[in-house]
Amino acid sequence: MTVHSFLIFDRRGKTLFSKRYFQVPGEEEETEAQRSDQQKLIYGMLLSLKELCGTMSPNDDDDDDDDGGGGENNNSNNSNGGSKGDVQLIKTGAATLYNFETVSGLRFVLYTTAETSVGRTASATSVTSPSVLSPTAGAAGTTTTGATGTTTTTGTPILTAATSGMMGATTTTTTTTTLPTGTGGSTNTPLASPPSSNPNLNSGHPWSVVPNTTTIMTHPQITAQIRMSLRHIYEHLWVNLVVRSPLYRPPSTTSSSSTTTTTTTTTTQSLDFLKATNFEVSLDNYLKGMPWFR
Amino acid sequence: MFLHLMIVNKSGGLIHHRALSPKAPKISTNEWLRIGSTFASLHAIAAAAASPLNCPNNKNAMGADDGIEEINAAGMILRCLQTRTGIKFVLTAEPNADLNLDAVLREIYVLYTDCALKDPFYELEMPIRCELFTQGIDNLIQRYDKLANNNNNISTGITIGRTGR
Repeated sequence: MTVHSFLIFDRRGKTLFSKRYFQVPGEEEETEAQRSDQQKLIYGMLLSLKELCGTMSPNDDDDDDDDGGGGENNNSNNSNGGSKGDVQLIKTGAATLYNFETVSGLRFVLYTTAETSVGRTASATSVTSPSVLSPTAGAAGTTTTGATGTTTTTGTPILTAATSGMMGATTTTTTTTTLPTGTGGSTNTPLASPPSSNPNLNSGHPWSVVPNTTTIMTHPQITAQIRMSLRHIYEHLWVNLVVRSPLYRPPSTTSSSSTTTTTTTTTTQSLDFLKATNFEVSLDNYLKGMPWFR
Repeated sequence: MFLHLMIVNKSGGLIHHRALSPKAPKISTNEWLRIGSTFASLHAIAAAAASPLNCPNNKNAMGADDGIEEINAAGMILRCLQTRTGIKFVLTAEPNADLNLDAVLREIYVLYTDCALKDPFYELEMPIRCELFTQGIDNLIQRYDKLANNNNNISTGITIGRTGR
């Protein structure tokens, strides 16, 4: 699986931080307005889905609940951890969104491409098995990635191109979206468009898959790992490097109608000082150390 | 186990909704209609929000429009099957259910084609009022409940068997 981007939203929907890790080949440069529109879209979707899931989730009124009876219990502890309706994962055919929402309303969002999906009917796989797919793209040179890209089915070329793209990528600032593709750049041409067929029909995969059935459920281990990582990013990286920075200003508690004018100064201030902290560098190092990060 | 079943047509209108277990929260009809249309639009928004990672032509592996396939929330799992004709079958279940929700959704889709679509009096995109369909869903839920109970019994029943005669 390939991490595509990472975003942090505050309680009001403003994007505090965003970073792209993966360049889709053939993608045109998007404008600032387009990007901000898309971020608002993501935030709005998370907000609406949280409300929707909240109404459809059962109230956890077990007998060990000491709130004294059932009824509306918004703070019940559910089996996935978190309050009722807390959206943790949204999966579409194209990508998967992992969300970690803090009690204060901060949302940490990670977008990955869909290779995290594993057929539930498949035999038990180890979490590190995706690493079997990634050839030594950086080291092996251009020809081998192209060759493996064509022999396996459509799912893997994205991985190989992504790895080759990643090898060449250096850390960028938050605003630029083009990553220098480096040595792997020329091999991106054999890449087909994103998989149009069932991505699980990969002959190279170590796990077997029932063909013609899209029994794609997200692997619970990977989900749990990513969630723990997002929590770690919040608890250790964000809190230590950003909130405890002397330049940090907590979001104002004025009503939302006045935020347009009064908080614009504070918002630009918070975005600027992020560049002065170590947050992005630490985030990059942390994410790249993760086994599921490609 | 299962919580709710919801079927939304191409325009976002709700054509079927029911609770599948007593644990499912009670939702009024108006609320259902609102949930149905909200979900239909969010389904499409999720695919747009994932751009530039879109599938080609925005069609997913099954030839249907790409959109939300699965949502994991703290209290439930939501799974959606979108057909090529734009009908969305949405199933919610408790998170500890070790089920292949996708297979269940496919069975419901087959039930829909057999009982609703083949009914000459059923109008497309209209609310489903076919007795055979509801009965079919009842049987399906019973079957899965029994399967789940058997699985639970197997895990505990071996010890019982040993202590018995």
